[in-house]
This record gives sequence, structure tokens and C-alpha cells, in this order.
Amino acid sequence: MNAVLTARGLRVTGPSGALLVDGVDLALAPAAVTALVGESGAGKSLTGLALMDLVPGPARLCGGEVALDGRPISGLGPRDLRRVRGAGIALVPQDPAAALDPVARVGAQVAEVLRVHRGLGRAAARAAAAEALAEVGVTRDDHPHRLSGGQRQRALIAMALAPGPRVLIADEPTASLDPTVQIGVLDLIAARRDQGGLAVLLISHDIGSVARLADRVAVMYAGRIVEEGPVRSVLGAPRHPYTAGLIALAPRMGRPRVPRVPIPGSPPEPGALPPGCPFAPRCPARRAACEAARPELRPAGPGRRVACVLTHREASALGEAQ
Amino acid sequence: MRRLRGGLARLGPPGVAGVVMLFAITLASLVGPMLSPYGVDEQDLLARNQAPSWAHPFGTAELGEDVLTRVLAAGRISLLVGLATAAAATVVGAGLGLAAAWRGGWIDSALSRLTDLFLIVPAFVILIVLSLTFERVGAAQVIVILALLSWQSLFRLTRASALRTRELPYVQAARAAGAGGSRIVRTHLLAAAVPEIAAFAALAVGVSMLAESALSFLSLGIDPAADPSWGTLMIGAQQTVEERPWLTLFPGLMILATVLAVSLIGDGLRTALSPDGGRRPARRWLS
Repeated sequence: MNAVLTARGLRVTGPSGALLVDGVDLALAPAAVTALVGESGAGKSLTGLALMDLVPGPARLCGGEVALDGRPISGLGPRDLRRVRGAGIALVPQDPAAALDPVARVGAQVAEVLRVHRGLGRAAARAAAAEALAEVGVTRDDHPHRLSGGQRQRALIAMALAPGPRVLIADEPTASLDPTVQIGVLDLIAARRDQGGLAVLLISHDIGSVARLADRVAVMYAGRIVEEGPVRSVLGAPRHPYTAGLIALAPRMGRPRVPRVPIPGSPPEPGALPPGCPFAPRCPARRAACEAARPELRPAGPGRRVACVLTHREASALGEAQ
Repeated sequence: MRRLRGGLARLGPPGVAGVVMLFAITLASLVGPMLSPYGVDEQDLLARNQAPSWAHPFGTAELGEDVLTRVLAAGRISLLVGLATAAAATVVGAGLGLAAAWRGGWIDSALSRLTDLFLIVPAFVILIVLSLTFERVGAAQVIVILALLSWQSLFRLTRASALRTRELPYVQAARAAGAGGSRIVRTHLLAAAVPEIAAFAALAVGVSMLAESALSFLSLGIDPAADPSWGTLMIGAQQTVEERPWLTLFPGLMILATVLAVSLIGDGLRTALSPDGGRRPARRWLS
């Protein structure tokens, strides 16, 4: 696999020095969607921002290397970094209502991106912006507060894709949308993956909604990736009890009456991780070894890795019990 | 034309009234003295100290000068001082405020301390000293001095607005899209501060006109022999206001009307320019 974007050992610390993202490795393949899932506070958004060196204060990116097309972008000067942001790696931020400037029309905002990255003149940028918006189905050029949530989200996607990036980081692109609109937005991303060879990192808390779009999935817990692999095999036979718990939570077609079991407890505070596996206190398959040492990510089948002491057999038994 | 009408409608009725008043006063000051049958300093010793009449609607002064003509001519200087001072103070205050908020660090500290310094000096005392220092004070000197002493509140408003805006998701999103500092300041921070800036600019016109009038009234402003302003016309009012109130009343009414007009415009601008009537989304974007 020839990854477009690779990240090794990303580390982000919080204001108190606690590790919020703890040694995350990612490799985004062209024409593929990688889903990054986990509960709130697992460090998903921070990981996405760390890829662009945009970790907001007081958190700090304190380690890791990111390479785009084999060229390292960690340590680039501000000018080169600006060229990478937007034109190389584009971000669709969380919360479309807040991610657009309320005092400008969306057409002008898309045009601005084109002027920066494609060097277009004012008129040419406006025309190209109108075209880019029409492509995603936003035909009305208006101020953000007069657009619907779906239109705003699609405008943001158009803005992110307009400079022709190699990588798209989409942070909860469907979180605030109706189910029907969600499908439209995900289809839009899928179309760009299939036509343009776009590498996508799809950040989501809902493992169910990414299942139809993602090619690979990485599950994050307490700042680390605890399981990753091809989406079919991970969702079909999860090896980590946390992944199994997330899957059991997702609503499923055709099984409306099955009660959904929440994962007991809540994620640990970043500054106060238990000594062993951070998931152990909530884990239904907890054993003595779990509290002794934190399990490292290890290979587990074709293209898969997992950070759990359970064997394949034990994990599938657990999956059936749920 | 349609855009102009749309913009006026968003100012609301009081704002439109302000625009009409300011326009009328400006036009009268510019054109009025030329149309008047009397010269600005023309004396008529047979018609000294007359009360308002059809021939002299605002009455006449000590040497028979027509007060209406003088008031209109004085409006040119008063309006010039008000508008130019407001413009200069707006540019300086907003520019430094944006720079301080965006650059942060020692630049922010230095600019903020400088502003504090200007805020604690007693403005009027400085003005008086400076006026006494200059041999002959013209409109330009008064504008510079007043502007130097009135940009501080806008600095604070703009800096606060920009500090708030720079943390908003759409500014973070602009950074993610590869926008540089100067572009973010120009397109996002400045645009978000426009309501504050516009309101300040309108109010500053009134405030600096009042300050100029007060200075002139104390004979510390613009040399009355060279350029009469509404304030200089009121010099000596203590002696005359009881017997010949029209000498003081009409310049005073002009000041009142102009300050009222720009205040109405300022209020209208502030509501018209705020998106969603002044409310702004302030949500965080990290889960």
C-alpha cells in the first residue's frame, strides 16, 4: 500500500502535561476512506488537527512525524505549511454552523480559498466558487445563517475540495444532520474518493454510520488506537472488547427490537489513566493481566492490529455473548 | 441606487433620520454661504445686534454680520474637524487593536500599555497646554491633537472583538484552509469588528466636534479670525446670552443637531451590521 499521508507517533499533551493523543500511527491510502472512531474525548479531533499541525492551545503537539506523498511536513516553515493546509490536506471542521464566517456569503468564502491556493483573480474565483458550490448542490449564494444545516455542511465540503487536496480530514461531517441529509453528505465524500483518488480520514463517534462508507477503521480509546483493520473484518469480528461494545451500540437495520447495551462506566480522565489497559475498568472480559501492563498494538490477522490480551477465540466468544 | 435604498432601510427609521439630518447640515454648510446675500464677515453697521427677522433669520452680530451666513460657514470647519478626527482615530484605533489581538505577546502588551498611558493623561489639560504652545492653531493641528486623544476606546473595542473572533471555529477553519495571518485579519477579524468600528466612528464625529467647540469656546481652539467654527461663534457668550441669545443659540443648536444625527447613524449602523441582530455563534469545535 502506497499511503498518501503517513503519521508516526503523534503525541499531543494537554495543559497539565497529560497525553491526550499518545503515539498514534496512521497511514491513509489513496482512494480510500479511513474511519477514526471512538467516544467523545478519545482524541479523534486532536489527531486530525495534529496531522495539519493545528493543535489549538493550550494543548500542544509534542511529537510525531507526518509525511504527505513521502515528503515530511513536520518542521516546515509557516509559508510552506500554509500551502500544505488546504491544497495538500483539507479539513472539513466539526459544526458547520460555526465553521463559516457569519458576515460573508458562502460564495465569497469559497472564492477566497481559490484565490489563495489557485491564484485566481477575483472574477475567475467567483465563477469557480459558484461552480464548486453547484457541484455539491448548493445553488443559493447566501449568508451562512440563511442556509440549512445540510447546505452549510456541503458548502464546507465544497470549500475543502475546491483547491484539489490529496487528503481530506472530515471531522464528524454528519453529526448535526438529518439521516437523509447524512447519506447525501457521505455519498458526496464517497464520490470524490472514487473519482479523484482522494484519501479521506473520517472522524466519527458512530461506528454504524461510517460502516457504509469506510474502507478501513481505526478505533481510538484514551488517546491511543486500540484496534484497526479493514472495515468488514473489524466490524464482522471485533478483536477488542471496546470495538465490540461500540458495534453493539450502533443502531442496525432489521434488528429494531434488540436492546442496545451501553458500555458501562465512562472513559478515564487523560491525567489519571489506570496503570494497565485503560479500558480494563469497563471491560466485560477483564482479567489479571489487563491491570498489569498496557497492551501494545500487535498484528492480528490480515491487515489488522489490536491492543488487547484476548485471543481470537476469546474475542469471538465475547462477541457472540453480546 | 437599489443597494443604497436597501442599506438605508437596514439602518431603521432613526438611522435614516440621522442620515437625512447630517446630509442637510453638510449641504447647507457647503452651499449656504455662497447663496447667501451677505458675506461671511460682511459688516452692516446700520443693522447691529438685531433679533431674528425675515431679512436675518438668525439675527445679526455685534457689527451687523448675518448670523445665519456665519453659522453655515462655521459648519464647514466644525464638520471637517469632526469627520477628519473621527476618520484618523478610527484608522489608528482599529489598526492597532487588530494588530495587538492578532500578534499577541509583547506587541499586545506594548500597545495595551501605550493605550493605558494615553487613557490616564488628562486629555483636556494636554489640549490646553498644546493650544497655548502653538502660536496660531489651525484646523489641522486641532484634528491631530483630538485624534491622538480619542483612539483609545476603539483600540480596546477592536482588540476585544478580535480576541474573541480569533478563537472562533471559522477562523480556525480558515487556518486549516491555509490562510495566512494578514488574510485572516483582513477578511475575518476586521469584518467581525465592523459593527463596533462603525458605531465608534459615528460617535467620534460628535465627540470631537463637541471637544473642538469647547476648546474654541475657551479661545484655545482654532484661531477665530482665520476659520470660524461653531465653537468660536460662541466665544463671549457669557456676556451676550441674556440680551442677545441668538448669537449662542443657533451655533449651539447646530452642534446639537449634528451630534444627534451622527449618534442616530451610529446606533443604526451597529444594529444593521451585526449578523443576526448582534448575536454571534460562540461554539467550541473540539469534542
